[in-house]
Amino acid sequence: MESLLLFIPLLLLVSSILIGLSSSVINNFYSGIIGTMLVFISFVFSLFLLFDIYMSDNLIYYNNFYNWISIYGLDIGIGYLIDKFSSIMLSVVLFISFIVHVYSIGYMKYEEDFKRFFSYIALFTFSMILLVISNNLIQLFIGWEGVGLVSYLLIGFFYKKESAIKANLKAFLVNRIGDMFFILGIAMIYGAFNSFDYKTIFLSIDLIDAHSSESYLGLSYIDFACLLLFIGAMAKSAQIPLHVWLPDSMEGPTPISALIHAATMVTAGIFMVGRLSPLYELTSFTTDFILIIGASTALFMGVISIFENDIKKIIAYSTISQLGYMVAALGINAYTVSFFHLFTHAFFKALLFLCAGSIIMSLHHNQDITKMGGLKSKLPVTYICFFIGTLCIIGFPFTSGFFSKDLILELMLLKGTGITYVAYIMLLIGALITTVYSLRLLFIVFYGKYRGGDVEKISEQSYVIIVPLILLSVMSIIAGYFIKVFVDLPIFMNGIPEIHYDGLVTYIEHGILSPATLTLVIGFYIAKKLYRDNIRPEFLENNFLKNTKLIIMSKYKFDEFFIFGSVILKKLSIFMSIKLDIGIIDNFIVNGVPKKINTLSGFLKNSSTGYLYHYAFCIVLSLVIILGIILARSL
Amino acid sequence: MDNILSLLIWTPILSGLVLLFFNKKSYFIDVYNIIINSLVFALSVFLLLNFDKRSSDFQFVELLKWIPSLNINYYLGVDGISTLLILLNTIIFLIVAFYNSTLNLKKRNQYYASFLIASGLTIGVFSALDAMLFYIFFEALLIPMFIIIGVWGGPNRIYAAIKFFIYTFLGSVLLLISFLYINSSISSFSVLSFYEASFSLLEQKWLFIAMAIAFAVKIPMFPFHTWLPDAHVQAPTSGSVILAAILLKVGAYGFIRFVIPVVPLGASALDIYFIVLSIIAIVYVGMIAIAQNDMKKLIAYSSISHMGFVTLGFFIIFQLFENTSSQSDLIISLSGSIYQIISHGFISAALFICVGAIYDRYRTKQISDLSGLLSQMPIYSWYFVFFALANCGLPGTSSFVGELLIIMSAYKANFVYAFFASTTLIISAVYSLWLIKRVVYGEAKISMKNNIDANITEKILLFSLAIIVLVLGVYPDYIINFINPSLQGITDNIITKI
Amino acid sequence: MIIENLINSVLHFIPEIILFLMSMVVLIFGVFKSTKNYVFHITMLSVIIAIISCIAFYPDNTLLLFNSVLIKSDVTEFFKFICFFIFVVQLIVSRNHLKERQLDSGELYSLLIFALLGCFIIISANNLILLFLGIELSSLSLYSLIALNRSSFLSSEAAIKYFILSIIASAIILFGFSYLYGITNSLSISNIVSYASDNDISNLYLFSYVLIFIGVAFKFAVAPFHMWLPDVYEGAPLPITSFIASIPKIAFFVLAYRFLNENSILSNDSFSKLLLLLGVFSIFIGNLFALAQKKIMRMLAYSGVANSGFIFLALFTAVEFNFSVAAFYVISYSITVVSAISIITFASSNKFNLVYINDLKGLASKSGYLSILLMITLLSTAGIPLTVGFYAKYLVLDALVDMDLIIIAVIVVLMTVIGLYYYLRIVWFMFFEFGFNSLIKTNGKFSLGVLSIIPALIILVFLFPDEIFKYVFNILT
Repeated sequence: MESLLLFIPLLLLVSSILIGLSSSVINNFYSGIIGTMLVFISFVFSLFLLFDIYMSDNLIYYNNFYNWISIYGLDIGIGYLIDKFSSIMLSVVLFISFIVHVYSIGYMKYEEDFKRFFSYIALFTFSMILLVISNNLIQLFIGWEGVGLVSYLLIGFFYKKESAIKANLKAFLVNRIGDMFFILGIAMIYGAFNSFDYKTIFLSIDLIDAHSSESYLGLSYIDFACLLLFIGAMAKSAQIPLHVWLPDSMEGPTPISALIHAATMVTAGIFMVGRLSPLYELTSFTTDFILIIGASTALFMGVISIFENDIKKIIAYSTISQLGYMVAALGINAYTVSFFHLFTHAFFKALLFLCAGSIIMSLHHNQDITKMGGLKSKLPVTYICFFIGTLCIIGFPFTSGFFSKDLILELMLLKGTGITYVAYIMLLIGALITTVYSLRLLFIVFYGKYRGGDVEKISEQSYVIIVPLILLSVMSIIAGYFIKVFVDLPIFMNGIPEIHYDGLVTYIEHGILSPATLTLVIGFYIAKKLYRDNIRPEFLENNFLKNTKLIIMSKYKFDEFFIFGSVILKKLSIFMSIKLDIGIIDNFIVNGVPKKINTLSGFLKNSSTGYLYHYAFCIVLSLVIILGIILARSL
Repeated sequence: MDNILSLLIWTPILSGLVLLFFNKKSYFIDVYNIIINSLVFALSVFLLLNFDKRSSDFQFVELLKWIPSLNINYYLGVDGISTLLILLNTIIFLIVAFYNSTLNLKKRNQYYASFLIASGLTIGVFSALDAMLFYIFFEALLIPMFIIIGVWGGPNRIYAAIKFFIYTFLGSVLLLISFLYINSSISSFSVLSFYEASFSLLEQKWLFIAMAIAFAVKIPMFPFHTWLPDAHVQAPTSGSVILAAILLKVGAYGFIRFVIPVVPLGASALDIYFIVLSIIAIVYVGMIAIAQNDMKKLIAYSSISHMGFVTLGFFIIFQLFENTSSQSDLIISLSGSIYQIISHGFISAALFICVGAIYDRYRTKQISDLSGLLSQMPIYSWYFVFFALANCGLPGTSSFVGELLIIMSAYKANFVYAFFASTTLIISAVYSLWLIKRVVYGEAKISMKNNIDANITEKILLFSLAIIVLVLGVYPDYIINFINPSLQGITDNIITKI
Repeated sequence: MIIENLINSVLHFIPEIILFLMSMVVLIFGVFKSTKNYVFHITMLSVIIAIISCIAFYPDNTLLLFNSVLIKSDVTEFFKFICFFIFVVQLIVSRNHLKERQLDSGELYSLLIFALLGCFIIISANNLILLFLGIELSSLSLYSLIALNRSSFLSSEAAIKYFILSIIASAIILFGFSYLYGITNSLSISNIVSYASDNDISNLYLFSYVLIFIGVAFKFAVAPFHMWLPDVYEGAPLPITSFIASIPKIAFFVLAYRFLNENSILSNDSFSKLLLLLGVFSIFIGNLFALAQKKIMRMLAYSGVANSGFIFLALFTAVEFNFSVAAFYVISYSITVVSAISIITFASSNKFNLVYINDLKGLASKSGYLSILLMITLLSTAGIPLTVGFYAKYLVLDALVDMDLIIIAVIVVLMTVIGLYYYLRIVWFMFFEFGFNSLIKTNGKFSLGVLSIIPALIILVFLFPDEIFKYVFNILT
């Protein structure tokens, strides 16, 4: 069974290289089929592994494929650590990737760069797999950077579009900012444990005292290291303030948005924290920091999507806010719960994106929801799927979102320190917001009447588009019922009381009676009034709300801030280049000194007159001087 | 095969001199040139294969009396480091030979001859175990480079060539003086006896300064770097390739072969200054690279900033030893630097070839004149993207390994060093990918009638370079194992002295 | 007994005698129309005979001739042979040049031979009077040689300058001699030297030595006694210049050697410091002045000043070591400079004199071979590795470092880096610039062959220097 492991990444790599380099040997359609098949096979393998792991309790596959570097005492391998945690992640990633592959065959039909696309997504999945199965920090970082790279390539897929190439540069650079801190964090871990290997680190974790006296900016060693690592995660998982790349990344083809935002890239941060949970257990400040970041992201980013009109951007912001929930859960050391939300979110978010994609296709690449409406009758299947997706994201009872989100909220209350209450409130409001914007989207897109011109040309897409949607809808519904699995996940979480999980039914009852349901109702009411019945009540018209709206619609000026920073950087570098490097070092010193010598020499040259008596005088004079000195010395 | 090193040195030099005298039809010269380079390459591979990786002492040693009256000897030998550098050298020169055959040049035979001679001399530098012999090769290496830049260079070539020659010569005369000084006290020029020699702290400081300046000019380190951009911009493409891929390495090699092992006390006394200079090189020069509008200049500055990593790796070892008195940390840091040297050799070479190709087609190196090459020369552009990414230290490419090891060691030396070193993740990404964004992506500015994409030779070259970069990035262990014993030896020597 | 000695002495003096007689013969040949054209051949012949006789009467050990007025030893013979070699090369190379300018008259050749003779006498003199005669003989013939080109205003100016100034120098030297005679009341140099070691050095002795060496400094054109050199280089016909640049330097080195060898005055602080300071100063002046020169010969003149400075430094290092360093420097420099000037001589055709550095523009594109020869020569003067000039400077620096004068060594080296610039300037004019001057003469297989002897030597000696080092070290210790 373990031997299968090698094939999972290998097949993806093969498909990527094969499709990427087969210039005209294989035609587009077949290359698509090949890519999909290979992913499917590795998905099946991953399922085998999953069952293997879950049939036998605490079975863990841990080994190295090969030694990447081994210098005296330092051994870095490329290998795998498959436990319950990573095996679930593995199959989820591969499943979503498989779905996206299938979907893309239909979606990218008319692109001439079809193959490049497939090669990319295969590579993307490969890097994600590398990250998921890694058994050491370096491999994690390699995968981490890998997904960053491929997202860069994918966002810039339409390389002639100015906005696209701006967006992908932005995405990569913002991620790099995170990575800088991430690698520093790795360095600190390495400094403490003299190893990158999870096993070694976790085993020797008690040996170093986490709260060692040497304080970094007032934090204990581990605390600071974890903070640095988390900053890396903030960039990947699009947390405030490093989220700016994600909305722009919608420039990429829609299936990619599904892949990036549902299961792969953005979840890397969550996965990393979960993976390193034993370290995060030891932190005090960092966990609170994580909690605050997560909660505020969940709230404030959700708000933005109420006022967005680009269907993909709306979903993008909802992604950010959902990630906020996961991060917040991490902030109370509830790694499994966070992971559970990641799990459910993967399905319904992929669903929503792919639905959006199908809508966009049907409307011939129109993404502006103000030009949509009344699509319910035109795209029935898409409608149903999208409806399911919406139910999930707003956490409607019996859907997957319901389970995971409620669990998070519950634990917030249970943890019950001051800060978690605050976070609880924020997340609750966030839930309300979620309901509002999701339903808004649903209403505006599918109800009312079509605002985009002639209705005739609109029709459902082919089966390659539809079937994935249906699959995902099914998964989105049932995903929540795996809750047991996640509650029992062997990632230990102290700091919060054990979840009293006794049976599904009680849990559901309890969930329905929780305040979350209330937010659901209120949210539904608001959304219905505002966007279904289009009632504009007077009290919304006051200035305060207007200004807040303006602030929100300006995305809190985060983009402007980064642009400002980049301008500063550019100006500074130009100044350095011209003034310091060329001006002072080169012209003044390097070329300046020889110039001085040259002028001196010229001066001397002119000083030699050529008059004989000058020469004679000079000779005699120097003779006298020399003799004089000698005389003086000898006396 | 005892005198394989002599073969490696003199085959190219002599065949280069021969080449000066006949001026046949150019395809014949091409073939000749490629054959010679391939031969040398084969020899170096042979060297690599017969090299005993486990032993830390010098191998293939050749010792002939040359000038006994000045106790200068013809003393050759290689350890792991120099073997790898020789291999790098021969590979790069082979690639350059292939690349040159695609150009149309004036005075073809002289051009090839200069490159062959330079190749031989470089191998001499890497394999000399006698300080004076090293110095002579080191100096002589300037002449072919000077001629390459001066004769086949761009409009401002003379300025660049003179600046290059005099600047590096200025540095190296100090090297000469310090060698003479060492010789006058131990009356031997052999590197091994240099290693055994022991000097007072004051002597070591001065020797360190003199030698370090010589090599700092060559690498180049921060305040001494301004000759490099000019040289690069004016040099012909193949010249830039050699300059970036080989000559800078000569400086780095000087540090690891002479400065640090011979005067460790002086180095450890003054290391902080050089660490600071290296960090300045990484951050400041990297930021200067952002502002460049000339692609060659940009790459030149990025080279300087990467060399900053190399020197950082060299000079933190003393503080490392103070903090964690474990030898393995020193070895890790040093091997990071060596790895960086090798990887940068290939990456910069590839980048310069790409830029050269763009220049050949569009007659401009200015970023502002170019756009959307991807739609006009896809293959080239993809390679350009790949190597640019490699240049900003992407995992999976060779440059990641060195940077990783150095950053890790830098952290162990001092958090601040690591912090500044790691800013390169951002800075290098900015200048590399911004370059790509402006040049490769977007709509094409200049319209091209006929197909201008890579021809078969160029495809092969770039492909092989890409493969090398990837392999080095994916499986660094081979090279690491290769250099470790030598570094073991060097660090043993250092530790015993400090 | 006495007769025997006399005969023996005469026998061993035959080379000089031959030169003397043959110069007369050349003079006579030059008079008659019919024989006019053979003067060159006669000169060659006479020189060759002289060389042969030199070999024939090679002394198996140091000889004192004419009651120790003359010395004949390995040293003297070695340097004489080098002079011969240089002389022959000059004759061959400069023949066409002189012909084209109708300078190849009998008196020129005879005067050349006289000058050579004078230098030989300086080399082997062991007696103040004879030494002075030698000095004057060489100088006098050089005055007239410089002025030989009557048509040129520059050369007569140069001749006058050289004449007057070197008279001053000779006066100074003679002054020194007279003091020495007064102190030691002996004319034999060996006695004078041994006197210094027997009794401690009096100020007068020091004084006279200082005077003599200022004279020598003048002959070497060491700053601040160098002013005549650029004008002479510029004014004199090129063949004469190359003679002045090379052979007298060798002669005066031997003179210095005679006076200083095994002489405790070297350990006198003031005296050694004088040598050192003159040397360093001269290196400064030479390089700085040379930097701005536009004319080739003036540039070479100032580079000559710098190199003379090195020679004085080398003499200074004899304080701790021996004269081999200086000897090697003198030889390598004078041979190299001869090659440089010969190439210039060869290149300037009858229509046109190669005067300005600009005239060398793009020479490589016309005759790569010639420019490579010139490049090798210049790089050797600059002291770049791959040329013998490197060893010359190397030895001096090595000695200085051994004497713990590292600061001096560094300064000197930095000055040479400045010097490098003006040598490189010629190189880049030849190789990197375009648009060569079509008047430059580059063809002539035979002359090119002769010209390439010295560059070939420069490279060869660099590759296999050890035997030469050994030989020089042996004979000078």
